[in-house]
This record gives sequence, C-alpha cells and structure tokens, in this order.
Amino acid sequence: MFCVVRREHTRFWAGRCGTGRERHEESMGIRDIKLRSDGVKLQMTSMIDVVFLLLSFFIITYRTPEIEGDFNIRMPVQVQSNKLPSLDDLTPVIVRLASDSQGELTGIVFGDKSLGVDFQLLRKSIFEYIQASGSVDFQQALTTSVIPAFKDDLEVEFDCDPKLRYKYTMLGITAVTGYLNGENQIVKMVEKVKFTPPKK
Amino acid sequence: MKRKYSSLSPGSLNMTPMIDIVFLLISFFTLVINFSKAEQHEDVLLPKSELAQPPETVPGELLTFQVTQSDEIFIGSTVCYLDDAPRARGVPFSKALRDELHVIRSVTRTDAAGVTAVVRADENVRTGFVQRLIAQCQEQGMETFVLRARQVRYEE
Repeated sequence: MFCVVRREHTRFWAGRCGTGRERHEESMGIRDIKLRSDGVKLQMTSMIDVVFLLLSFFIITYRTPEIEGDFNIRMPVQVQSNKLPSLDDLTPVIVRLASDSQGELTGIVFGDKSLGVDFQLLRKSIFEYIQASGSVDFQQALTTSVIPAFKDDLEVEFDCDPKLRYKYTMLGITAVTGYLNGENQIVKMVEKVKFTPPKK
Repeated sequence: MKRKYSSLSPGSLNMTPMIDIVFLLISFFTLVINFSKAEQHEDVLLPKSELAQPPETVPGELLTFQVTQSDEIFIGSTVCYLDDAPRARGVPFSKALRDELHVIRSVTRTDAAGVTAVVRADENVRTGFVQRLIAQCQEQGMETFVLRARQVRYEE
C-alpha cells in the first residue's frame, strides 16, 4: 500500500511542479514561491514516509487513559502502653472476608451476620448500621439524591484470609466506603478503614 | 467561466487531503500522548472500584509500591522481595524502603510518619501479601497508606 501511495504521490508532486501548472499559477498570482524544474525541489517522499512511521507509532502505542482513584487508610503502629485505649480504638466494626485455597471469595461476615458473597448486601448492612435516624431506605438512597445523615467516626476493620485475592478486598472496601446515588454521585459512608494485623 | 476541479489525470490519487488528514492525526496523537505514566507499571492490573476517584488534595511526600502478581515489589525501578520470602532476584524490601526513606528525609526533611505509601497492587495478589507489606512499612514508621484502584462505573 505504501508503495502505491508513494508512486502516486511522486507522480502528483511531479505534476504540481511542472512548468504548465507553474505558469498558470504565476499568471493568476497565486504562488509567491516559485519552484522551477532547474531549481531546488522538495523531496516529499521521504517526509511522507517519516510521517507515516510517526502515525503508525502513535496509533500502535495509544491507550485510552484509565482513571485511578485512592482509598486512604491510616494504620499507625500499635504501641504497648499503660494508657486506656481511646473510644475509636474500642469500636471498630469487623468485616471478615473468607476465601478458599485458590483465593476465591467464599463468604462475607459483618459482625455476626453472614452475607454470602454479596457485596451489595454488605453495603446495605453498613448503610443500615451507620444511619443515624434510619429514616431513609437503602433502595431509596440508591435511586434518588437523598443523602441520609450518617454516624461520624465509624471505623471498619477488614479481617481477610491471607490467600484472598486483592480484588475482593478492594470490592469490600468499596462496599463499605460508600455508594453511587441516583444522580451518579458518590456518597461517603465510612472514611476510616484498616486491616487486621497479618496472620502467619 | 467553467471551473476546473482537478488537473490530475483520470485514475491518479489526489494526495493533498490525505496528507492533511495524516498531519491532523499526528497533531492529535502528539497532543494527547501521556508522558506522566511514570507511576504506572505494565505488570500491575489494578483492582476495579466504582468509587475510585482521583484525590482532591495531593498528600505531601509519596512513596509508590508496585506489587505484581508474582509477589515482586517495585520501588521505582528497584525490585524487592518481602524479607520473609527471599527470592533470587531483587533486594530485601526493608532495606530498599529504609534507603528510600533516608533519601526523602535528607532531601525534604520529612520523617517516615509524614510519607504516604501508595500501594498499587495487582488485583490477583494475595491480600496477606499486601498486609505484610503494610506491616513492614509500619515497622519503618509509616502511618498513612493509599490503596489505588482503577475507576469502573457499572451501568445498570
């Protein structure tokens, strides 16, 4: 294809630089730069080759950018001390994610309630747990722009099986941190998330 | 006056519009090419999350860890392994982390507690591996961690 393009292109520019067209354009006052057959000629073929190479490079290497986002967790080292623990330290809500030997999710437990492997059920349970008044239904919150009042400073601690694939942990963190409401806006439920210490 | 549409002989290609379009395409790709992918790693496929959003405020000092599916940790171009799982390739993670924190401290005078660890872990990495990585960062005095995910919006 490139050979055909180059041949046609060479023929085209040879035609353009010919004396007949040049005289016509000079008489019409179109051209300021005069290209004569005995003068300097631009060799366009190599430039077009480079341009096609550039274009091929860009097309092959182009990838649509993916939007990345962050989940913040704050986990200072637990220091042994004689002081009484603060209220925050006493009240983390435990979410347990269990897995099989292949790392696939086998169960979600919130408090003492088993939720199967349904992260939307986990989201609903968290929603109902932290809602201050209990006046807004979960489905209503998902489909409308009503934002209920949530209790502040709730901390969720994830107790995950070591073999569990990280994608399930991220789905769990996503489920407890918030949801998309009816207007596709993110509503935050839990800001504080942490992990249990790693198991041996 | 009769207008002449083309001076080319029948069967020949008019190259001018094609070259124009090619140049436009090159201009487009040149403008949209992203040179800020230094933080990304080709072996890391981030987990999906519908709530992942770019942070509104940029934390002070960041230290990015790329965790691949084969349990390798990249700090910049340095390959590391967790201390309790030695491998043939790379350096111990705690040593590499200590060196990085030392450089940050000497350049910006920020101690380990002020450095945010950005964990870019592959979606198939074991969660226990990420937890052990975080634990080793804690041993060096780091307190703030960021788990990175790619944004996926599920259409109902």
